[in-house]
Amino acid sequence: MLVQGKFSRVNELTRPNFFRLLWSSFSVGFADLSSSHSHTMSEVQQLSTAPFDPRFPNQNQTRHCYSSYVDYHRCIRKKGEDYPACEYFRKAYRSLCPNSWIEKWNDQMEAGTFPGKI
Amino acid sequence: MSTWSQLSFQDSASPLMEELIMFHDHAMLVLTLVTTLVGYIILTMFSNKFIDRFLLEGHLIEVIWTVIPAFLLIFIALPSLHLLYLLDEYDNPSLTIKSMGHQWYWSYEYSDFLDIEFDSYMIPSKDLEDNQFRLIEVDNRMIVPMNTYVRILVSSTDVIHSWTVPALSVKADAIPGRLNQLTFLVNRPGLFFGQCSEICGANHSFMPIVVESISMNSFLNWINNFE
Repeated sequence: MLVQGKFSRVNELTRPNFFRLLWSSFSVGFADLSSSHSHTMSEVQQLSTAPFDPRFPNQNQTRHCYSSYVDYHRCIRKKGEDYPACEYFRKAYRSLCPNSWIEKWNDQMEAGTFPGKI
Repeated sequence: MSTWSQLSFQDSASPLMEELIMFHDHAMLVLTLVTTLVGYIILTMFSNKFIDRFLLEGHLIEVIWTVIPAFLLIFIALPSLHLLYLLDEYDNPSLTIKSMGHQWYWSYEYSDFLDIEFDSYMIPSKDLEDNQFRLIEVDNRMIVPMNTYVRILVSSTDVIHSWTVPALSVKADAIPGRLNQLTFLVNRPGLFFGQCSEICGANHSFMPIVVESISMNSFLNWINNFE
């Protein structure tokens, strides 16, 4: 709850911060893939995935997945779909969240019933 | 996999499992020595006709048989704690796989790059080939690259299941609405088996897990050619 409260403030995404560091570490492995599409036909040459996030150090990663999803949508709502730093959140939630959860949340977003604050 | 009458651990497939086995051997040695010593003393006590005239106030021997066990306990505790913290060491994984439990099969999702998703059902006994094992083989195995830190996020779509591979010393409950993280590194190629470890209905015993560990090149090849 503390984390969600923190992200509801307007300036959070603009200052260079912790997420820029995470974004740069996450983007290293993706240097050889075009970063705007996850379903590109280019070959996977190297593996990379969502890095360790010290906000979620323990076994329960549920909030890591949920926060990444919510943060991505807040990021694109605030900054627009093509803002590059939002890619970090998108890749994180795609890697971490089960597809059935993503589909359910996407349906809720489209219907306007998603319970999180975007 | 275990063979019939196997009481011991399966051969390890990860460095942590090697450490666990070594610690187990170490603790078992201490236990065997203590049990043998005590057993021997009991037997000799019962089979002699001596009477102890100096039964009371044996201060020296009481100190000895307090200090030596204390020392043995420290001798067991130090590697135990070392291993306990070693198990929680975390290095950034290169691959994330989601393992979803269903009634009664597992499904695996590799979503880091391309969207790969498949179900893993047990092969029924009547459909087994001659070289396959009964009740633990599956149609689609979970493929992982060797010598790579892998993160598995375990969850469920219905009831509680539990995902485990003993050779990799990992087990986590698959709970609906929760993501449990396991990290491991497989240090040799091969097939490693596990079975659902939380009662989940009629076919709880018939939803096994098979991890197939292959070289990184073969893995990238598999990923890129997944239909």
